[in-house]
Amino acid sequence: MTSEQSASMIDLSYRRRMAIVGVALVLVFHVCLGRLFSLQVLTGEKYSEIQNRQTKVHEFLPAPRGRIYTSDSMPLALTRLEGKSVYVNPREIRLDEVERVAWVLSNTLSVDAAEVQRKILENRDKYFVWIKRRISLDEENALTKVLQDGIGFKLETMRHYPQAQMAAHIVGFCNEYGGAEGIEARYNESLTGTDGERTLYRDALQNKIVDVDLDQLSPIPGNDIELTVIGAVQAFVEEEMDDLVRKWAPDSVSVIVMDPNTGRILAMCNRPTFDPNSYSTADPDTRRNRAVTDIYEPGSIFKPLVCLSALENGLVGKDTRINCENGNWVARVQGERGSRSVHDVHGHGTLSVEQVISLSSNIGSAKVVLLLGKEKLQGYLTGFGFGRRTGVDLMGEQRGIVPPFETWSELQESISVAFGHGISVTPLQMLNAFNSVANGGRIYRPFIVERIIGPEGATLYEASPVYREVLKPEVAREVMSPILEKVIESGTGTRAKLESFRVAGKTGTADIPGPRGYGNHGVVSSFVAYAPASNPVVSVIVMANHPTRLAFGTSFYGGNVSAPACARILNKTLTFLGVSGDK
Amino acid sequence: MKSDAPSRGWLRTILFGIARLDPSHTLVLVVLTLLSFGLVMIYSSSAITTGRNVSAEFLYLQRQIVWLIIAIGAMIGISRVDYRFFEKYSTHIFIGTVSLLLLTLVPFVGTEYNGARRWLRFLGLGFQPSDLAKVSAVLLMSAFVVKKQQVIRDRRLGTIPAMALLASLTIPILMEPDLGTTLLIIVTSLVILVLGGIRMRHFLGMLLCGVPVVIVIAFLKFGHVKDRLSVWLNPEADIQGKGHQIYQSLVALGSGEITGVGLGGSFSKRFFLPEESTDFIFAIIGEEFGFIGTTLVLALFVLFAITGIRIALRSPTLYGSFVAFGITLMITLQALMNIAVVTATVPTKGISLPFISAGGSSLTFFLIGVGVLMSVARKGTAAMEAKVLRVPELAEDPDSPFVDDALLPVCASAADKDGEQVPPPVNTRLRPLPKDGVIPASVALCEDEPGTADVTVRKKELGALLTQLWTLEKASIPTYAKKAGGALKKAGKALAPAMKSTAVAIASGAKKLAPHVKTFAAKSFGAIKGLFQRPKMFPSESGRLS
Repeated sequence: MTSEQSASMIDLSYRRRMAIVGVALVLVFHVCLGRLFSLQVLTGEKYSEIQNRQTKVHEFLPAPRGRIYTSDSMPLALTRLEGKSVYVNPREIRLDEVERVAWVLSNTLSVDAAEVQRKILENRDKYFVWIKRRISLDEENALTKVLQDGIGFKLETMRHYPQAQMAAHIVGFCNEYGGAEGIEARYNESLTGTDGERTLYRDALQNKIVDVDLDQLSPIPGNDIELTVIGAVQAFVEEEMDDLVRKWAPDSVSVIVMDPNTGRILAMCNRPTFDPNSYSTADPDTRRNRAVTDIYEPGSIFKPLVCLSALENGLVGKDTRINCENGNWVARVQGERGSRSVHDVHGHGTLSVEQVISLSSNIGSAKVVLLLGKEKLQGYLTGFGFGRRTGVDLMGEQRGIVPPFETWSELQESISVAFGHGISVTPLQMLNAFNSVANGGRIYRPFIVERIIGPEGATLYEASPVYREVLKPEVAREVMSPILEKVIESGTGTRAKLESFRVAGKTGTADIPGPRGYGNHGVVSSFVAYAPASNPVVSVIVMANHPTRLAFGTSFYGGNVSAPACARILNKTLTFLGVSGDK
Repeated sequence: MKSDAPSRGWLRTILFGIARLDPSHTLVLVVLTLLSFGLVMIYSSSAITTGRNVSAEFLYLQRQIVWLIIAIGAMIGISRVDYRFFEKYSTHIFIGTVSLLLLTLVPFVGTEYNGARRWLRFLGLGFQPSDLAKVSAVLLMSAFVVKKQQVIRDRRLGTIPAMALLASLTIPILMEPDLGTTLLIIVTSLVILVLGGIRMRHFLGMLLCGVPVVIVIAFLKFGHVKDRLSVWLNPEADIQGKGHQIYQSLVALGSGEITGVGLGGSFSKRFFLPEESTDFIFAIIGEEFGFIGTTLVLALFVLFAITGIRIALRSPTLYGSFVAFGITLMITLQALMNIAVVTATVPTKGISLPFISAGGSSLTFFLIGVGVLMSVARKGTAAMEAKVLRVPELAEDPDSPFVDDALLPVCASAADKDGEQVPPPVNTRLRPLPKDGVIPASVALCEDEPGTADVTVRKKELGALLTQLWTLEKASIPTYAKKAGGALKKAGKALAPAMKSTAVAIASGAKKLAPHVKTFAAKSFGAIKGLFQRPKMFPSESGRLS
C-alpha cells in the first residue's frame, strides 16, 4: 500500500462516511421538525384548551342585595362586600381524587371530610356545591397554598343591619340562601340582584394577571325597598316596649302602630327580640314576628266589635238598658240544652249599651250577642276579617281561629265570643278590625312596603290602599266612637288619657286558656286605641302576654299594663306627625 | 453559481447568497443571531420569575450579558490561536479535563445541585467541567484519529485505545450523574471515529454495547432516570408530580400553535413551567412565536450545521476538519437533543439549548468551541486561497510542531516525486483553481505561520512580565524571611525532636516509594501521551527516523 493510495482511500472514505453522518443528521432534524409540527399545528388547539383551563378563571362578581329603609330614610338593612366562601365544582374533580380533595378541604377548613366527600359524590353532575361559607383569612391562606382544580373561592356579600334589634321582626334576616324572614324573605326576589361574572387569567401561584382582562358581566344590584314604617315612631315604640318589659315582665309583647285611614303600618314591635346581624345565635323563639304569627284570645277589646254589629242592625241603641244581673247570671238559650254561668268582675245592675262597653260587662255583652243571633254574628266576624289572613306583606301570618260555624251554639260560642273568648286572633287582625271604627267602617288590607325602587332610581312598585266596607260609616263614627271615648274618659282606660288629644280605646284582660280551661294561667293585658277621636290619624294596639311582675297596688288589667304605654305612643306619634290637638 | 438571475425566486436567492458567503462570516452571523435572540428570550422568560423571587426582573439578563462578554472574549482569543496548538498539547488537555472532572466528584469541592454534582466554584463563578469535556472530547478524539490514521482499523491499536480514551472522559461525567452529556460525548466521539476510518464492525459493536451499557448503568444507579423514562412513556400520567415539567412543556409548545401568542405573552413562564429560562426555554419560544418561531430557530441550527460542515470540508488539514466537524456536530446534536426533550420525543435530560438558554458555563465553552471553529475556518480560507503551495514547504521541515501528520504521507510522496502534481489537501478539490493562476496576497499569511509567532511572542511577553514581578518582590524578601525565620525558629525548637523523627520516617518512606511513584507517573503519562502519538512501528515514521 503506497502512501498516495492510502491518502486517497482515506479521503474517499472520509467523504462517504461524512455523507452518511450528514444524512443521519438530516433525519434527526426532520424528526424534530415533524414533532414540532404535530405538537403545534396538529394538536395545538388541544394544548391551547388545556392552557386555558389552567389559566382562565371565571371570577364571580356578587350583586349587592337591595337596601331596606324606612319612609324617613333610616337604613334598616344594607349590603357590604366582604368574606370569601369555598365551593367545589364536582365535575372538575376526578373520581380518584375525591378522597384527596376532601382530605385537603377538611384539613384547611376544619370541615368533616366524610361530609365533603358525600357532597362531592352526590352532586357529580353539578358545577357548584358550597363547602364552607365566609371563611377566615387564615383559612383562605391555608387553602390557597393547596388549591387545585375543582376548588374555588367566591367573594360574597355580607348583609348588615345598622339598627341591630330595631325593627328586626319587620326586616327579618338573610341566611346563606337568601332572605329567610320578614321583608328579606317576602321580597327576596326583588331584593336579590343579578350576579356578574368576570373572566381573567391567573398564574400558577393563583395570582391574577390583572392586565389581561377579558369580558366582564357587571352585576346588577337588587332593588331597594322603602317601608311604610316611620323610623322615629319605631324608635320610641321600641323604647316604650323596653320600659313595659322592665316594668311588667310579660312573656311577650306586641305593638302595632297603624294609619287607620290607609292600612299603612307605621311601626311594629315585638318582645322578645333579636339582633339580625347574629341571627344564627338567637333563640328561634325570639325571631318570630308575634304581631302576625301568634294568636291570642282577645278578651274585652273584642266587645266594641260585637256591640257594633248589634248597633248597626238597630237591635239595640246606644242607650238601650240591659240588666247585668249584679255580676252573676246563669245563661239559658231557647232551643239549646243546658246553661252556663257568666260573671262580671264588678257587679252592675242595669247598664246602657254604652256602659256595657265602657265598664266592660261580660253579662251585658253576652246579652247583646244573644240578641244579635249567631248567623249575623258570624257574618260580622267574617266581615271584620277574623279567621283569615289580612294579606299584609309579611311572612308567617296566621289565620287565627274562629269556631266552626256548623257546630256553633249560641250558649257556648256566641256568649264566649261576646267577651272575646273562644276565638283567637293575631294582634294585627285585631287592630285592623278595630280600625274600621276609626275610619268609618272600612277594612283596609294592611301593608308595610311603600315602594320598590330599582337600582337606577326608578320606582318599580308603589303601594296603594285597598279596602272593603263592613260597617255603616255613621254607626261607627257617631255611635261607637263616643262610646270608646267614654272608656278613656271615665271607664277602664282612664290611664290612657292625653292632654291635647281625644283618645278612643278599649282595654282588655283575657284569661289565657290552659289545658283544662281558664284560670291561673295568667292573662293577656291588651289595649287598643286611636286618636284624635274627632279625626283619627293613628291607631295603636299593645298586647302584653302574661305579665308576671306585679307592683304593689296594681293589677294585670289591660288598663294598667298596656294603656299607659299605648297613650305615650299615641301622643308621641301624633306630635311627631304634627297633628293638632282636638281637646 | 454565477448566473444568479432574480428569476430564481427570493428563497433561492437568499439560500445561494448564504452559500456564497464565506463560511466564517456565516458562522459569526448565525451565532450572533442565536445569541441575541437568546438574550431577548432570557429576559422574556425569566423576568416574571426573578421579578417575584428576588425583585430583580433583569437578574438573569444581566448575568447572561456578563457571561456573554467573558465568553465572546474567550471565543475571540481562541479563534486567534492556531488550532493545531491543541493537537500538540492533547496530552495536557486530556490530563486537565479528566482531573477537573474527577474534582467535581470530590465532596465539598464539587457543588451539588438538584441531586447531581456537576459544578465547580471558582472565583465566585460556577462552571461545569462537563461543558469543558464536550469541547475537549472533540479535540482529543480528532487528535487520536489523526495520529492513529494508519492503525485505526486495527482492534488492538485503534479501537481499544479509542474506547479507553472515551471511557476515561465519559465515566466521571456519568458518575456526576449527567446522562445527557455522557450520551452526547459518546455519540460525537463515535461519529469522529467513524469519519476517521474506524472499522464499521467495531463501531457498531461499540455503539450496540456501549450505549445500552451506559443507559443500563444510569437506569440502575440513578433513580431519577427510571422516573424520567416512565414519564416519557406516559407524560400525562402524573401531571401534578413527576410529569409536571414535561407536561407543562408540551402545553407551552402546543398552545403556541402556528403563530404564537407573541413576544412576552407566554403563560407558561408564569410559574407553570420550571426551568423556563434554561433547559426549557425552547418551550417558551414555541409558545410566544409558535411553529413559525420554532421552525426558524431550527433553521438557524441547520444553517449552523451546514456552515460548520462547510468549514470542516474546507480545512486544509484532517485534524482541523475533524475538529470543525466534531464541534459542529456536538453543538447541533445538543440543540436537537434539547428540542427532543422539550417536545417529549426523548426522556428528560439536563441539557440546555446552545447559545439561547441562560447559563454562563455552557455558553462559554460553546463559544470557545465556536472560536476553535473560527480558527479552523480562517486556516481553511487561507488554504483555499493559497491552494497547495505550502505543501513542499511543510515537507522541508517535518519536525515543525505544527506539521500536519495526516498530510505527511502526501507530503512525503510529493517530495519523492519531485515537482509532480500533488493531490490537494482533503477537500480543496471541490473548487477549481483560479484560471489565471495568480497566487493571492494572503499566501504570505500562511507562510508566516501566525499561530506559532503569536505563541512565541506571548511566551516571551509573559516571561518578561514574570521577571519584572520577581525583581520587584526580591527586594522585600529578606524582611519576610527574617520574620518568618524568627517564628519558625521558635516553633522549630519546640517541635524539633518530634519533627526530626517524623521527617526521618517520611524521608525513608519517600525514598523507598519515590522510584515507584516516579515510574508510575512516567508510565501513565507515557500511556496518555501514546494515545496522541503516531504508533512507532509505522513504516514511514521508522523510515524517517533512520
